[in-house]
Amino acid sequence: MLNATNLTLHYGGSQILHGIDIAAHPGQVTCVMGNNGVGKTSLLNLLAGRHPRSGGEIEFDGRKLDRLTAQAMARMGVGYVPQGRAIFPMLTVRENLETGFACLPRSERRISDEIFDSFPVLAEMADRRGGDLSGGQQQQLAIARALITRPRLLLLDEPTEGIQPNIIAQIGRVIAALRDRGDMAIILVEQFFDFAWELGDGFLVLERGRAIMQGPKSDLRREDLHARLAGHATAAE
Amino acid sequence: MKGIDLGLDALSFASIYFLAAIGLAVTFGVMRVINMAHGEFIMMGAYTGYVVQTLIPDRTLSLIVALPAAFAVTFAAGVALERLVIRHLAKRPLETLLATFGVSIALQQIAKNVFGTQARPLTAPEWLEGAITFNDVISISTIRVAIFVLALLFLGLFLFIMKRTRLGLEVRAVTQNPGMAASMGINPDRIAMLSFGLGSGIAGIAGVAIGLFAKVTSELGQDYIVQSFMTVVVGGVGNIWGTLAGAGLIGALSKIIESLNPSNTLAAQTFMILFIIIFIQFRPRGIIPQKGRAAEA
Repeated sequence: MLNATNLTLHYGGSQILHGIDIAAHPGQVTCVMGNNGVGKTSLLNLLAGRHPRSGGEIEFDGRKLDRLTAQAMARMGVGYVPQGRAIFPMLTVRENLETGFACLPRSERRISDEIFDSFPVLAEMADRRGGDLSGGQQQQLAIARALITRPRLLLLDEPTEGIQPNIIAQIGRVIAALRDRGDMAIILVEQFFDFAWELGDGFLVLERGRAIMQGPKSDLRREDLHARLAGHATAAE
Repeated sequence: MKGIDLGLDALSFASIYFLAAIGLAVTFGVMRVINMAHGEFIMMGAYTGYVVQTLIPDRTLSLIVALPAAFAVTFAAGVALERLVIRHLAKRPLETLLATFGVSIALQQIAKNVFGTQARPLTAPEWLEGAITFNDVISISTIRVAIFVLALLFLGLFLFIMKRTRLGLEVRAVTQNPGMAASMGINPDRIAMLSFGLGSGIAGIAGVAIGLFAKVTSELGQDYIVQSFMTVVVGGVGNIWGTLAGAGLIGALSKIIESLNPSNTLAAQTFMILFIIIFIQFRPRGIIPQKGRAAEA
């Protein structure tokens, strides 16, 4: 599905990513982990076409991609759930969902029942403004909104950040269900270790823009991964 | 009796202000672009009406042609301005203000060179010439009724486009978060261009209507730009009902001040601006502010 190699990224003069390789496969969740400020969100922004890369190759569906734009990536089938959710505050919940229709042919522009089945609260809140929702509800809306575009690759940036446990569990179930459907590749940026370990099929640990640990779940031990993350947390402090 | 007459006059003032401001409600109210050349789009619309009238002698027919022609001309001008100037100054309101102010002066000079300094006539068809008379005191000219109807029509059109069409939804999404809108597959550049064209096109149509009762000169736009911004700001930026309320308030106010002090227009304008400054002190978000978590954040 997605195969990216040797990605580099600069913000002005400072280099944020150093030669990252990342792949995503249908029916699998690839987790990107690491502490704050190591480049996880930058990596996701790059893949979503929201920031130009300085170097590296990106192949999506067997096609090599040159310059990415956010709009082109969305239309190609990359759904994006940003950190902080970025709900359109003055649009209703329904209108927020409908923004994704831009990616669909006119005849298929409807909100499927599946969306409301996965997130019943959104059906109740359909006519409320996005900005009036609570954080947990907004997170569900952000995921649902990305799903409206029928993505083949879903990018999730810390969907558990600041969310209460029962909603986290629900989001986890939705992600697992999407993975088990088998036709969608998922890249999940996450700091919540247990959540990521539970869902992940492959892991990539970043530190200061470099990959310090990478591989499928079968090659990694939970303790090693945990130690790697925790160890660097203490080192950073 | 006098009161009713005053009320009718205020209403027709209000509809003119509303008509002049509604294009600005799109470009400034929704998109938050400060376009000082907005008045010149009104002027371009009026001149388009004049040119059409020189080509088509029948006044009714020429008016019917002039309205879409004015829309087309100013839509194109708006798109050009957006692509050539405003897009490159995104998120820099001060530079946008200065640049469009320059464009405004340039457009006035071009109009002077092309049409001369003399006022050009844009004559209303006969059926718009008369007045509806109720008695000796209360009468209203037909053209003012027409402008009132046109203002209502545009209010409806604006609401329909913004709330019911795909374009309106995409415009609102792009103005709230252009980056996220792009990630939903919307093309923010295209939307900015189209909605700026739409706001400018509406200004052009307002220009035809204004030209029917005012003299068409290169300075026509100047008379409306300040009032238009005041209307949008006093009403509450980003809310069309606010623009309507703002137009009503300013229309009524200018009529009341005028009736108290009929000889001195400069004093009238000064009082108006004073009132607005004081009003904004007490209601900085306008008559109808946007509400809710999102607006207060």
